[in-house]
Amino acid sequence: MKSLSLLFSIVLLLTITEKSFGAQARNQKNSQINVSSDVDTLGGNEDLLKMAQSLRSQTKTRIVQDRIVDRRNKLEFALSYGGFVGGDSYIKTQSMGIAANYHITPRWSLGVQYADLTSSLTPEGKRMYDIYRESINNGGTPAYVVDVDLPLSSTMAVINWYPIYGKTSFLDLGITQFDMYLIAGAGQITLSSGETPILSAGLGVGAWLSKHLSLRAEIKYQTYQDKPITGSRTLNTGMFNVGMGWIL
Amino acid sequence: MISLILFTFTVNLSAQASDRYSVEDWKQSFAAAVSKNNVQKLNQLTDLQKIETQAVPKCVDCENKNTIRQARELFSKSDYAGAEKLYNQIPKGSDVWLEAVEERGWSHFRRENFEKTLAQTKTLLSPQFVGGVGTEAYLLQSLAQLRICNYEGILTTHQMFKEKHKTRIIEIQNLSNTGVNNALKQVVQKASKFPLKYEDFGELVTKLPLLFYRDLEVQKQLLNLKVSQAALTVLADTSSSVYKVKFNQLKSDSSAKLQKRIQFLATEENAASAKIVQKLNLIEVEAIQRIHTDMALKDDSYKLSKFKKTNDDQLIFMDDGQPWIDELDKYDVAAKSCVKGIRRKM
Repeated sequence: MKSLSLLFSIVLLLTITEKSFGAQARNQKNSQINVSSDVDTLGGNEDLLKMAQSLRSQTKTRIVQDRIVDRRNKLEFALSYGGFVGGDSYIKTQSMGIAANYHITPRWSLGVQYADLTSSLTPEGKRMYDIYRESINNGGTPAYVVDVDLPLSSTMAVINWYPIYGKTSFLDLGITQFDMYLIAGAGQITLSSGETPILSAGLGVGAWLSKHLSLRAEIKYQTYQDKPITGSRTLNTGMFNVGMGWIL
Repeated sequence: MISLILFTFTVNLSAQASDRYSVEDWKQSFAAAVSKNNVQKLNQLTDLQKIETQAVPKCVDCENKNTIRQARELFSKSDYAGAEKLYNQIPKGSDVWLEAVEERGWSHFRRENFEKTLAQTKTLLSPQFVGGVGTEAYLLQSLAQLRICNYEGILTTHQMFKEKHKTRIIEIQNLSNTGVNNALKQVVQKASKFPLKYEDFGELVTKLPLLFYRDLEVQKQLLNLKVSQAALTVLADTSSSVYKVKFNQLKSDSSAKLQKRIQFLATEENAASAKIVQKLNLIEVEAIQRIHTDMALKDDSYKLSKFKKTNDDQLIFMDDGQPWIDELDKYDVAAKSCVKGIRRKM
């Protein structure tokens, strides 16, 4: 009986040992990846891929991210610098402006803009002026007079619509979101002859550099009537300006 | 490029980064103490226990690690919604953010929200994280695709796995046998500040065990190795034999222990990868079988989901497969998937 029990114990021990070593060996074997049979075969069947493509399942992916700058019920103040393009060929006009924009939503904003306008003669204007002065100095009657109505300042109310957005990475310094927008505005322009209405329309791009800092560039068409000595006329001008803003 | 991107991510840890222990600074102090024969200073500088405590703190980014631990506890109790809330709290700058994204993906998977799962795996498998994400992310994506019958996606995922991980698998497998490779040698050369960070090593991490730079033992042995190398450089022209013996011993000990630890980590990763590869093969077999049966499925067998609604405060960009750094974790996925419980006939 005793020897039977001993024999049973030996068999049991051998079985357990064999199982244990077997499991260990299997684990070792399992942890070795056979690259050519296990990895190289993955996903490489072109025919299967074509069949899979013909099935009706599909996955669409897009990226949805929040605007860096919250522009809902926000006020923005800005300083700008720019100039007139076209218009009276005898003068060139530069503008220094301040503006306030109220962002109703990221799509719409209302604003007021004031621009202080400084004008000087273009080379053509200066040439005409020099001829005029020379003629006066020589006691003659000048054939031409530099007849201009200088713009002095303008005040406008504008509405902006921001239909297009995007983002850019500038010199790897960071990612900046921007909006391209349409501008429509109306107001008064003060000329040396007095005040007159002005209308404008254009487009701009606003880059939101940080939660508070903005950078804008605008180009606008504007129209108003000036009154030089020789009579009133409609001036169609362009205006460009760049500005920095602070969003509260 | 990857290091630059990860550097951006770690911007909120920059304060910690600036406080890192510099072996170069230690070397200069040690050289000054040796030249002045300042015994007290030398004793301080050669107190390795103290150096280790300063250089390799047991917990970096503790708050977020604590959060992810709590999330895991909730996950293990099947409170997936609770776990997701905690995963969401972990910021992108955290060391454990990628783990949080992956585990959040599993949580969505458990809740059978496969589109959200795929949104997470899109982030994980983006090119920026090639060296920071292991094989499990591929398994998660592949499984989610299987559940929505996106077999084309499965084959593409497996192809991507092959392209991005084959070299790594071979490298890690070799590392598990030898404990050393060229990447490790370069890591030893490059390591100069502790605690170690991903951006210290760039693409070298793709040839070493996943997250090795966060392993305390690796950091400890690497620190000892670097300190001993620095000390031996300083002592090269001196006759201070006591310190030379001490640092020579430290150098050989730490080098051997580092190698052993890396070998251990590689073996662990290799075992995990082997299981993942087996599972990917199983998924592919299942997908191949289903491709043939699903050819007969009609359009009304599929369930079409739509993208979530957005408002003017959100910007939508197309996914061109080359996400910008600010787009990671911002994916929205809509799938036309097969309905559950469908019976397939062979």
